[in-house]
Amino acid sequence: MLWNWSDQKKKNMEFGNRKKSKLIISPTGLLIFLLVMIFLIELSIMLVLNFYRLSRQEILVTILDSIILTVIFYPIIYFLVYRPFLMLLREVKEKEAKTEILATDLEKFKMAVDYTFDHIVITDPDGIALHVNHGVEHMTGFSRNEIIGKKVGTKELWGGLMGQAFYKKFWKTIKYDKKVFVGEINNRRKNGEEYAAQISVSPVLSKDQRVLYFVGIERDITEEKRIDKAKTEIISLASHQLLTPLTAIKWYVEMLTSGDVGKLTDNQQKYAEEINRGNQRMIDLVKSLLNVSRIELGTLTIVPKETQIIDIAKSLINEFISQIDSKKQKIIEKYEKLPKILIDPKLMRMIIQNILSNAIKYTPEKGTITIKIENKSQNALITISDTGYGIPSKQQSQIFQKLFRADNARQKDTEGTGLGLYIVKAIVEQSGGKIWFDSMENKGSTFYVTMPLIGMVKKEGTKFLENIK
Amino acid sequence: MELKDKKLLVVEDEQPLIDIICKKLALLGFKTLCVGSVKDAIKFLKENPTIDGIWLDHCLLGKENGLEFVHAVKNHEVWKKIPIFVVSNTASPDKVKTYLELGVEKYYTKADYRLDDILKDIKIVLGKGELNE
Repeated sequence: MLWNWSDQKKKNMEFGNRKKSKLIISPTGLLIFLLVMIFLIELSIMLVLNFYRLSRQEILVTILDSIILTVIFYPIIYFLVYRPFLMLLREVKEKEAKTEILATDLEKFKMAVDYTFDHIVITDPDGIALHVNHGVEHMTGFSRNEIIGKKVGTKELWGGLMGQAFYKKFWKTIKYDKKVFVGEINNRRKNGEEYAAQISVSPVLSKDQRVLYFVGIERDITEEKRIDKAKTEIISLASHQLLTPLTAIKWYVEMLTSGDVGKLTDNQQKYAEEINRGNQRMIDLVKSLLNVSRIELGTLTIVPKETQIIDIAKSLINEFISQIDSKKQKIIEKYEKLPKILIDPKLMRMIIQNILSNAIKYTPEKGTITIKIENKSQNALITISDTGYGIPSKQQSQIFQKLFRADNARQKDTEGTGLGLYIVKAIVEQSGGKIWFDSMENKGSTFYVTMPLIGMVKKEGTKFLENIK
Repeated sequence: MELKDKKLLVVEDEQPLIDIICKKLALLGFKTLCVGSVKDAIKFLKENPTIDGIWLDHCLLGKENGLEFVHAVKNHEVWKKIPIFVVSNTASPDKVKTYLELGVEKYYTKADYRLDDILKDIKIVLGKGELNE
């Protein structure tokens, strides 16, 4: 057993040396110290005992005694006192180190939040400001002290400019739906200056889904909006400047071809009509570009009204009847009973007009065009199919792209802009619907458009789209 | 419809368009006068309050635009009865709405209409008829 102890002791000591060589007391030093101390104590006891003149045997026993004690005493001290003590110290040190790392990290994050240029506010579940960063002070003009403790988003601070409906939706989203609210808001700085901001407010939830805090981030977009406005104005101006000379050509050619300034020879008449056609293409292109720019700048206006899609379809067929008749085409109409839907009639008209016009244009003489409007419980489904040239399968994926026209279309009719379907797709999707098609070259195409029966969402834009015949 | 001697005021700032509009109107028997700014138009109305109709563009010479002109006309005891046809290339939704609310007969986007079509409507209104939308 002694042998076992010493083996273990050796192992421990080695282990101890390796691990704790950096710690306060070297184990070897302690061992020697203890050994010496115990030996001396024993020796002193012996000296004391000397007074009583111990026998030699007794002296030997005492020495043996002290050695055994030392051999047993040290390990016990080591295992029960020294080692646990050192481990405790080590734990304390580790904890301290961790806390220090956490503190450094927290300091980093705090600095990141505090000094970022963007505006960051942290509030309690009722919107009372708990922490604001420098960005807030910079953007709103209010100081930290003026904000903390007050409710964010009110007239007292930099908010309160939006209508009731806005704030209602805002609180519902973050407090009851517990979702992130992203939107544009108009606020007012301390000095009275109004500005536009992009805000995102996120609820921070506990493990049991209770709202702990709200984190609100604001970005000043006044400059962006100013640039956008400038862009839109340039396009408006450009289109106006372009349309004026185009109108002049249109009206002068009209006078020429109607004989108001003298009769034209047959050739002159033909040439004048050719000028008119080219001019009309330019007008259509300018208006399409205007539409594209309005869609891309997001300035499209959607004004939903109770509309009967079937009436729009019928009215459009009426408009196209002369074209259909001159091409000796057949038109089949199939309408199911459909309720009036809350949609923008102008936009709906543009959608059907474009697809129908394509069907007529890209179908040869004596072809058939079918228009079907069905009630599919959640959506209205408009299907327009033709027996025309179809779209080559290799080019089908590009059909909705801006300015794209399939090769066969370009051959048959040089006049399209390639913008029609791009615009239609954008309108359909912005109105909450879907558009897709099937087509086989030289067999025909079928276009499908769905429009939700619950209608379109009203969209505050600044522009209507141009109607292109 | 007796159009002879019906007088029309054309308020338009683009010279080529003035020429063609007045030419067409004259061919149909109207008597026309063209001015290029709101100031001139008001001056003309003061001297000739009994004109039968006004063809109005929105963008004009000078500071004032067509909208301000319509305001002035519709607020005048005598002038407010004169039918106004707004023919312009700038068609922002609010502008169109405002013009119609102020009581103009119709708003035409120039590039969309043939002269014949606009004049057909003018003939109807001046013949004391009503335009159907």
